[in-house]
Amino acid sequence: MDIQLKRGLLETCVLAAIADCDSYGYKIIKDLSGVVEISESTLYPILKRLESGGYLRVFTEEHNSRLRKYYAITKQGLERIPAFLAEWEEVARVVNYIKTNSEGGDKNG
Amino acid sequence: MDKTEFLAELRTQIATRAPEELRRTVSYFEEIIDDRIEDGMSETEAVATLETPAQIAESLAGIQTAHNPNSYDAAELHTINIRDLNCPVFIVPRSDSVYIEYHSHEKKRYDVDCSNGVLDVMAVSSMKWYDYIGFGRGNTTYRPFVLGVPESFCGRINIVTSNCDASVSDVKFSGGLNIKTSNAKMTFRNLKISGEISAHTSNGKVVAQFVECGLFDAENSNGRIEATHISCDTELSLATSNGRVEIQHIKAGKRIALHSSNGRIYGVIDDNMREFSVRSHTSNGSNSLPGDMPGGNKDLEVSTSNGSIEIRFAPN
Repeated sequence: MDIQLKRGLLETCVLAAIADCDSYGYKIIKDLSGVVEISESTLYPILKRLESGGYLRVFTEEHNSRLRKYYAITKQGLERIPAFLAEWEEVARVVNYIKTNSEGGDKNG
Repeated sequence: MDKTEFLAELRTQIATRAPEELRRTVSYFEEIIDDRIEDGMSETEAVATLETPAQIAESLAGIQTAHNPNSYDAAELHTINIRDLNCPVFIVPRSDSVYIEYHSHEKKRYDVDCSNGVLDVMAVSSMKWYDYIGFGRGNTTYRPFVLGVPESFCGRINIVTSNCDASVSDVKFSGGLNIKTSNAKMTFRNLKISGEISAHTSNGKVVAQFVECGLFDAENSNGRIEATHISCDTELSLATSNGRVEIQHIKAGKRIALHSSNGRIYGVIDDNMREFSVRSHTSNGSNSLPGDMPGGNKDLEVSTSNGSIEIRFAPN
């Protein structure tokens, strides 16, 4: 898959994973594991990018007498999800066009 | 590997990053491991199912390797020159064309030129010494260079690499092969090459098995040489220092030369001793050969110091 495309997909997946409630690294990976394969070392730079872009913020909380980092979506992050979906509509139209025009001229298929 | 070892290794792998970033990265992975353990995994399991610290470092460094395969018409080529560094080289058989495969990344590119029957492949690296620390930021530097040679190839192959193994197996062609590496092992297996095979390495062993060629010349230092079932039209020369030379079932049309220092030389030559003019010498060790015996059609030279010479002859 195109790297840019995949990057956009993964970033939005991460935002969606923390949209409803704050989450932490291990939980994000677990929640996404059924949808998309993402390793710890892939997630790390994504979280960093989203943080520096202002799409999420990081806070630390004590958990079982150790510290755990939590990620909370920001207003900007919440706005990004529908924006991504709108862009994706466009991609879907293109995909549909490619599909219909590559199936032996069967434009209805 | 337990958590402490894993984190220590990770720290080493990403040691070149800014201190604050290093601390953040390590604490991120520490948290992941703790969470996995809390979720029911054992500590070893939690670590074992993560990527290795080297892979993580590679992934974080964002080094993307590009895989570059390419094929060339064997009939159009008479010379193949490959200059790589810190990269293992494998020469393998190929049915139809000359094939090369290598991995480039942001710190290493390959300049490839194919003209007038000469294929030139040269690695250009901007990697610094610290890129190699801890196995070079992941395995990027250790993905091998592969050269596929078809039986129809007719010409010369010159290969240079360094600090990594070189292996040639199951290849047949008309022409010669010149191969060099350093600080690493060299292997030759099941070869039929009409011309000369010339091999140089250091600090690694040289192993040759079932090789038929015009001439075989292997030079090593600080490593042993093992040659089994080697048949040369003209010459077989094996030389090392600080290593033993072991031969089994070797023969050559004109000359066999076996040299070491600080190593023993032993094994079987598939020929009659009377075929040879023998010259042999060792300073500190027993010698099963005559020191100087003229008369044969072929030459046998064996010398070492600080090692014994035990050569038997088994004509067949």
